[in-house]
Amino acid sequence: MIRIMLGDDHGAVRRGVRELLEDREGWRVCGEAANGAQAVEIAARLKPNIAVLDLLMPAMNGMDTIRRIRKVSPDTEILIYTMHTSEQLVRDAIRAGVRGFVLKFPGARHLRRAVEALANHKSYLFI
Amino acid sequence: MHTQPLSRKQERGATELDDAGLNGQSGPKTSSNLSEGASGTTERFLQSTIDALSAHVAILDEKGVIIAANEGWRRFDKGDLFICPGQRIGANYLESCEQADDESNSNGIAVAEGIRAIIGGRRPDFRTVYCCSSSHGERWFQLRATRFYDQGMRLVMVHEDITEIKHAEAELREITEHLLQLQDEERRRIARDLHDVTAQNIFAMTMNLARLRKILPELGDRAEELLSETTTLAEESLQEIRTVSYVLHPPTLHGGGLVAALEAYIEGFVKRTGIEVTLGAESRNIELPAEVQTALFRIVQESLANIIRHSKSRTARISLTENGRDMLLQVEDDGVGISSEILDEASGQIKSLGVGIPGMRTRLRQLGGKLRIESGERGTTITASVPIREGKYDPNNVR
Repeated sequence: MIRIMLGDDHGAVRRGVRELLEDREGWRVCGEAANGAQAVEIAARLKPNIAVLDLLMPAMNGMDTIRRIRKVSPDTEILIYTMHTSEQLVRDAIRAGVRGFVLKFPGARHLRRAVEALANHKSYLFI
Repeated sequence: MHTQPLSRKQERGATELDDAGLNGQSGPKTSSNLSEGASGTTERFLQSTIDALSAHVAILDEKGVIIAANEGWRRFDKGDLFICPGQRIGANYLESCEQADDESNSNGIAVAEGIRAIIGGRRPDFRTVYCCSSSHGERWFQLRATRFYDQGMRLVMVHEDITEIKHAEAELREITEHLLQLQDEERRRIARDLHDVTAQNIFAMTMNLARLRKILPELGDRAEELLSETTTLAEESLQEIRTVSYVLHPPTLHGGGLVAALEAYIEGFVKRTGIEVTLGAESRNIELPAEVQTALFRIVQESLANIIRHSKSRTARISLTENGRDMLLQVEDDGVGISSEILDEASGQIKSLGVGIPGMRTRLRQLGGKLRIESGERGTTITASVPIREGKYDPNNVR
């Protein structure tokens, strides 16, 4: 069983992603966070295999959220699923410990492939 | 034309003129000064006319001696506002300009040279703008010197007080700078809102549409067609929002640097317009402060927009170089050039009041930089320079 947590401040996006991922046998969304601080708290409590996070959420900036999750749950692989991209942003995220980076648009269909790669502790980038 | 009778008077040897008071002094009048009959009436009329002018007017002879002046000149001569003070009738204006040339009046020699060039026939006129700091405060003048002949050469010297114009220009500059700053902030805010809110919502719509399709597997052709069309429209809207948001404010500009932002912008521009654009930069990691990056990025945007609107060029070349002193941005095209009705080729100044190029100039002026425009039948080159030092922009070197 792959346990996945979602962090995105947009409820409809969280619901859509949850449905998309839970369609896959053996994958379960174990928690949802609407801001960075919640994401850190859920990661610390549930220790998911994978955290799918938007970079831009209230309460804590994306890079801080990544660093804190790496600290409270070092085995959780982090996949950034966002509308924002730039070389610098991707570099910073990878330096902070991110294993995957997928641009929401036009990369929605890459999400499941990315989660699968991270579940096998491999990197996946679609930017 | 009004100067002719005055010069004729001078030809008769008068330095102190008729009772209309060309020199404004109360010294004795010679008989030759006194106007008689029609000639005197004309001279009084002409004196009254030039006295009514707000400009400060004097006539010089071929040696640079002041032989006549209007009321405005006499009034200002009593103060310390002229480029070369102490210029009463009979004084040699040329010599006083040369003598007055010191640190406080560095324009004196230039004016003297201009006058000598006119006297020597090397140029028909001379113009300069100068500033005087005096007990009256800082005042700006435009000096124009032109020559005419009337049984000998004469020079008309006209000082016009342009202080109010200068103040208005300065205020206009400040307003323009403020407007550009507000425009940048507004663009950034709109770009952020579009990208972070509107695009997210539309993205959520596309996810909902995907979920809907899953919930209702047997939709029928009509409903399936509608769902597909709606998904396509949503995705196209997302793409447009990303483009508009990027054009308004590239997120990479302050994250990945100027070169990365330009590359991404040019890629989109080429796709949208089909114009072939090349970018040459000495380094991808040019360190420049945010305001310089924004200014140079906007200049590229504006220049490329002008290429589409006006040049008819199918190619553009952009280069970013530095010469140790300045960061140089050059945008060249192979288009039809800017017409002489719009561009003053001598000064490289745009005559018409378009928004784009004055905006570029204002952005650069804020940073102590300059804009040069060269245009001809084979295309236009826009060069923007911003002062830097040892490869880095130096805010202390802002001119």
